[in-house]
Amino acid sequence: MHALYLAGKFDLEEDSDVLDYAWVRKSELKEYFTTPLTAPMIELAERSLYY
Amino acid sequence: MYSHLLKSSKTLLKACATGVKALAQPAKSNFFQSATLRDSSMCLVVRGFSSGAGAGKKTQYVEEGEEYVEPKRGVIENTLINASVIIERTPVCFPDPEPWMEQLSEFKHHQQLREANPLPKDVVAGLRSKFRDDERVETFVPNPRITEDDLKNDRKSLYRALPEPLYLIVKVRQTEDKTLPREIWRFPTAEWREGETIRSAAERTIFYHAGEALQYYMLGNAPICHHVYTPSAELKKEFPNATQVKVGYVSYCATCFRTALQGLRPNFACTFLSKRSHHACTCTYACMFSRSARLPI
Repeated sequence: MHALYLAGKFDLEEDSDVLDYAWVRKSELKEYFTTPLTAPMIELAERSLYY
Repeated sequence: MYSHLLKSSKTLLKACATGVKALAQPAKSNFFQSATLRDSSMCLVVRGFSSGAGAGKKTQYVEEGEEYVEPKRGVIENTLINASVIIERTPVCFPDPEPWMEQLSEFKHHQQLREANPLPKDVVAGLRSKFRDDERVETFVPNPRITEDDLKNDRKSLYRALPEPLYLIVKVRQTEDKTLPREIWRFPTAEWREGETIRSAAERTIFYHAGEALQYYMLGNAPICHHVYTPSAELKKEFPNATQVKVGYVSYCATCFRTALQGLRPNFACTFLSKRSHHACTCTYACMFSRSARLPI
C-alpha cells in the first residue's frame, strides 16, 4: 500500500504485506478487531477517541 | 512481524529520498500549500509541529546514495515497544442534532422573537419579497448527508459517514504469534527501533503504509493510550529478556481540505464545519496526551 492517495483510496502493491484496508467508524471497529491481540483496541478506542 | 518492513522501507527510502527528506522535516506548517492540490477530489492537509518532547530529536533518514543501516529493534526494561498510528478523517458535516437540541434551538428562537424589537411591516414585506424572488433560495437543494458510498457500504471510501470521524485500519500478515490468525486487522503498526522517538516510529509507519501522498495533521508527540500484552513464544526466542510488548497509539488527524471539497460538492457548503474543530480537538488531545503518556518519547 503506497503512493497513490485519492479520496481515501490506496493502491495496494502486489508484494505488500498490507492485504487490505478500510476507513471505519468507531462503532465498526469491533467487527474487525476480533483476535485476542486486537480486541483491547476496541476498549482503548472507546476510552481515547472522542466525538 | 515487521522484518519485511525495513526491507521495504530500505527500498522506499532509496527510491523516495526527496519524500523522506520532506517527512524528516515536519516542523514547518504547510497548511496553505494544500491549495496546490485543489484539483484533487479530496485533499488532506499536512501540518507539523516543531514544539513538544520529540522536537529536539530529528528522525534519521538516509541521504540519496548513502547506505542504509538497519537499526535494531529497541527493548527498554524488558519491554518491546510498538508504535501504532490512529489516522482519523474528521467529520465533514455537522452531526444530526439530538431531539433535545432541536427543542432547545426552537425554544431559543421563539424567545428571541418575543424579546426582539419588531421590524416595520414594510421592511418585513420587502425582505420576504426579496427572498421569495431569489432563485438561488428557491432552487437550492443541499446534497444528501447519506452518500452513495454509505448506501454501498464502501469502507474503502472517505466519502461516507460524513458526520462521523473515520479511522484507517489495515489487514496485515502476522508471523509474531502462531496461535493467532495469520491475517489480522489492526491500526497501522511498526516496531520501535533504537534511536527513534515514538513519533518518528509512527511517522515511519505512515510512510510505509501510505507513502508521502498521505498528508496528515499530527495531534501530539506522545501516545494517547497504550496497551500491554505478553510476547509470543516466537518473540521470546528472538528477545529472551522481553517480558511484555507495549503498543503506544499515536493519533493523527487527516483533515479534508475545505476548498477542494467545496469545489467538488458545492452544495455541501452549507453543511461544512468551517475549520471544524481539529484545532479544538488538538487542544483536547494535547492535554490528554500530556497526562496519559506512559511511553518514552
